[in-house]
Amino acid sequence: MNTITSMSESTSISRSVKLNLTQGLHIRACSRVVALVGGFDGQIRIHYGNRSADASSMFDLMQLAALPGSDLTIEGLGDGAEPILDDLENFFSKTSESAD
Amino acid sequence: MRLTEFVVPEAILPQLQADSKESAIRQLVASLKNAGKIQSDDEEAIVSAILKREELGSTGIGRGVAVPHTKHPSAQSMFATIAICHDGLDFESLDGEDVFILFLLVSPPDRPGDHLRGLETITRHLKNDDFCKFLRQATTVEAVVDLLQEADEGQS
Repeated sequence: MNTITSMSESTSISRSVKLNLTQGLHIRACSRVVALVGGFDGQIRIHYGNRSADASSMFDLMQLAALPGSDLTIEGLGDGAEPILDDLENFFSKTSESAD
Repeated sequence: MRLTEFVVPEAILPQLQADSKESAIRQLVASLKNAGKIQSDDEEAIVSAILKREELGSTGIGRGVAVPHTKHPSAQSMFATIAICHDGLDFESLDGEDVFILFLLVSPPDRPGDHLRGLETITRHLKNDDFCKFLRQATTVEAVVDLLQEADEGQS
């Protein structure tokens, strides 16, 4: 379920997801995230514990070091964010993305 | 986690000459073998595993950096080496740019947390423009080790 926050000029939506990828948020998973958010004009952020990453940045994402089974919050800002969050949630729900 | 916890100084290649991704990976793994971290019997299997991983998608992550890696049962704990390729190397990186800094990482298969923390440590430091720049300019093992130590000391 989305949490919707209205701000002065744009709307932020966020949702909690479970990271089921068996190897966690490893390099190939990060590159897949970057690909999923590529071309989106708004901003997607992924929060893990007290860390937060710009989902379009490999270096940011890799610094999350999110372990398998982690609870993440994905946040989208801008028009068209919801389908991106859907894609990310679907991706994170998989277990067998790679043996990386 | 500190870089000096898992980078093997004796295996650092500060002036790598390589004309291909495979050549670079082979030299890095051979350097780890020569430093005593990899057994001769495991060398080819580790090279093959890293190359196979690269086929799934390049570990050239941008900013002139690549992190080829694998998990291997012979690794009791995570270890890594570094190569500086001053001429640049086509690594089919995500950003399409040549690679100048390579961190090759070998981890035990049963500890994904160590692997992720190693990657986190590497990328956290390489996101620092000065660290990245000075590492690219380093031409001796001593210079690379000094930079790793300075980076570790600066993180606390």
